[in-house]
Amino acid sequence: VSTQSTGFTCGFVFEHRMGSLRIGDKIFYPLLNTAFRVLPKGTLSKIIEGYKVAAGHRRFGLKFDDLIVQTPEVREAIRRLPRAEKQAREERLLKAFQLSAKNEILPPAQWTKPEQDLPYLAPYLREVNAEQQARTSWFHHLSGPELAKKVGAKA
Amino acid sequence: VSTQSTGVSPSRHHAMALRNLTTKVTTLKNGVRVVSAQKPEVPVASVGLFVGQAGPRGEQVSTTGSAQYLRRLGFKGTQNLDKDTKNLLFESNGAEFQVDVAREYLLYNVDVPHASLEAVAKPLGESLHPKFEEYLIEDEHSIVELESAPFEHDLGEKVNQVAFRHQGLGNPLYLPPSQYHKVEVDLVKYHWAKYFRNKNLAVVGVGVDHGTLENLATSEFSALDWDPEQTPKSKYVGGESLYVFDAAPTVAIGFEAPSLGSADRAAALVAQSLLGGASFSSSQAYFEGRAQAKPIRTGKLATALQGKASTGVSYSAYSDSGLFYVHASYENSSDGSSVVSGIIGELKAAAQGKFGVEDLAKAKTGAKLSVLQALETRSGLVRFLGEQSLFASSQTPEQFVKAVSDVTVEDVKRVLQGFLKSNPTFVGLGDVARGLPTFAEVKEHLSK
Repeated sequence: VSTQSTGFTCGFVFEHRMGSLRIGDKIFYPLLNTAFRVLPKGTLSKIIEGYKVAAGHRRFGLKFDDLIVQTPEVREAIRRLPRAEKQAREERLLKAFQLSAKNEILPPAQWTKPEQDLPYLAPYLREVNAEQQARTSWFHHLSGPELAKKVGAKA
Repeated sequence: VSTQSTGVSPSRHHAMALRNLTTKVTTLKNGVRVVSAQKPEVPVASVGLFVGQAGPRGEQVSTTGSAQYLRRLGFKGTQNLDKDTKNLLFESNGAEFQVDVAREYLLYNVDVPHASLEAVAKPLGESLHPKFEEYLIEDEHSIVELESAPFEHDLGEKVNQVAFRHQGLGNPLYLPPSQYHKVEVDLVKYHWAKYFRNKNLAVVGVGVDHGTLENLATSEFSALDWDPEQTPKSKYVGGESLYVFDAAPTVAIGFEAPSLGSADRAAALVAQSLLGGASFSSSQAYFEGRAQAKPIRTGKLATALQGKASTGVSYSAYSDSGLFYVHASYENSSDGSSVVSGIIGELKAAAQGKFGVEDLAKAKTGAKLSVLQALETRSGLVRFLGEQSLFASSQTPEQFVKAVSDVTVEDVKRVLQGFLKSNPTFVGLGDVARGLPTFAEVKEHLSK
C-alpha cells in the first residue's frame, strides 16, 4: 500500500512499525510512561487516534494492525490468529492492494470505523514476545526452587 | 511356586510390590478423591491426576478425537502458565511429566524427587486447565495423524468398536482416518468442560504422605467445580464385522466380561492365563499394551493350535463392563474355519472344567505374576489405585492378589460358561473374505 497518497508524515510508533520491543524498551516506553503520568487523562489516546487517522489506512478498509512490518515474531503472531480473523485480514489486504493499484480509495461510508480498528494482533504478538523473552532470559539460569518461587509455586 | 524357565518367583514380586505398602483413601469437600500409597523406602514420589470419563468413552460423534487432543494439549501452555515456563519447572526440579489417555480416563502423571514435589505441584495442577486456541489444535493435526495411523487396522480397536457398537466403550482410542485434520478447538473445549470436574477427579500419590497430598489437592489440584454430568451406560452388544484388506488373516472372538469392580474379575484373569498362557515383561510395557513378552507358560490355545496359528487372549475390565477376546493369526486364509473351530473347542473344554488342578495352579501363578509385576512399578501402582478409586470399590492391591489366589475351578468354569452364553463378538481382519465361518455358524457352534 502506497503511503504517499495518505499524507502520512507522523513519526514512528515503535511497537507497530518495528514489531520489536528493543528500541521501544529503551526510548519510547519510558517516554510513554512519563507522558501517562504527566498529561491529562485521555490526551495520549487522542494523539494516538489522530495519528491513526493521519496514517490513512482506514481509507483503504484496513486496520492498523494490518500494517505491522512482518518480523519473525509478527509472522508467528499472524499464524496464531483464529482462522476467521486470518481470512478477514487477507481479504482486507487484497482489497487494499487492488485499490492502491488503481490509485483509488474507498467511499467514506466504507472506511474502517474507529470502533472497528482494534489491535487484534496485539495479544498474540505480546504472547510471542513474552515466550521469546522467557526462552532467552535469565529464567533459564534459575534453579528449580527459585523458578518455582518466581511463578508462585511452593518450594 | 516357581516358574521354571525364568526362575522368577511370584513371591519375590509379591515381596517387592507390596512390602510395607499402606494405602489410604479420603474424599475432600469439593469431591476430589485422594488416594495415597506409602512405600517408605522409595525416594521418588509419583503423583497422578485421574480425570474420569474424560477418555474416548465420554466422546460423542461430534467430539471424536477430543481426548487424544486433550492429551496433546497437556504438554502445551495453560491458562496461567506458558509452555516453556511449565516445562522448565518440571525439568529444573528433576520431574518427569507424562499425560496418558485410557478408554475411560485421562491421566496427568509426574515422577519427582520428594524434595521437589511441592515445586511441581503448581504446573501439574495447571495442566488440568489447558489453553484452547485454534492454532494449538491445528499444530497437532499432523502429529495426531502420525500417532493414529498405525492403529487404523488394530485388532483390539476393532473388537472394542464392534462389541460396544461404536459408542461409549466402543469409541475409538485413536482418531479414525475420516476425522484427520477435522477436529475443532470448540469441540475439544466442550469435551474438557463436560468432564474436567472435581467429582470426576482422583489424586493418587505413591510415596507421598497422605496429609501432604490432601494439602496439595486442596490448593493446587482442582478442576471445574460443577456437578458431574451423567455418562450414559455403555452396553455390550456383540456382533460381527470383517475388515478385508491385503494382510495376513487374523480373527477374534470376544465376549462380555466382568467389570473392574466385579467379584469375578480375578477368575476372568485366571481364565485368561489358562487359555492364553503367561509371560514376563516390563510392567510399564504391560500397561501400555506393548509388552515384549518372554513366555513362561504356554496356554491351552497355543498348544491346541500349534503350527496352525499364533494365538493370544486379551481381557480388559472397565467401570461397568469388560471385554474378553481370543485372537489368532494364521497364514492361509483357507485355514480360517479350522482355526475358529479350534478356538471354540478349547473355550468349551475349559468351560466344562476339562483342565487339571495343576493347570489351574499354573494359571493362577501366571495371573498373579502379571498383576504383581505391574504393581511393582510406581506408575503401575498409580494406575491400579486410580482405576479402583474412580470405577471400583477401592480394593487394595493385597486384597486383589488374594482374590486371584482364592480362585477355584468352579469360578473359572462359571466365568467361561457366562462368556459362552453371551452374544459373541466376531471380528476378522486381513485376507478374511473366504475361509471364515459365518456369524450364525459361530454362534451355533458356541451354543452346542
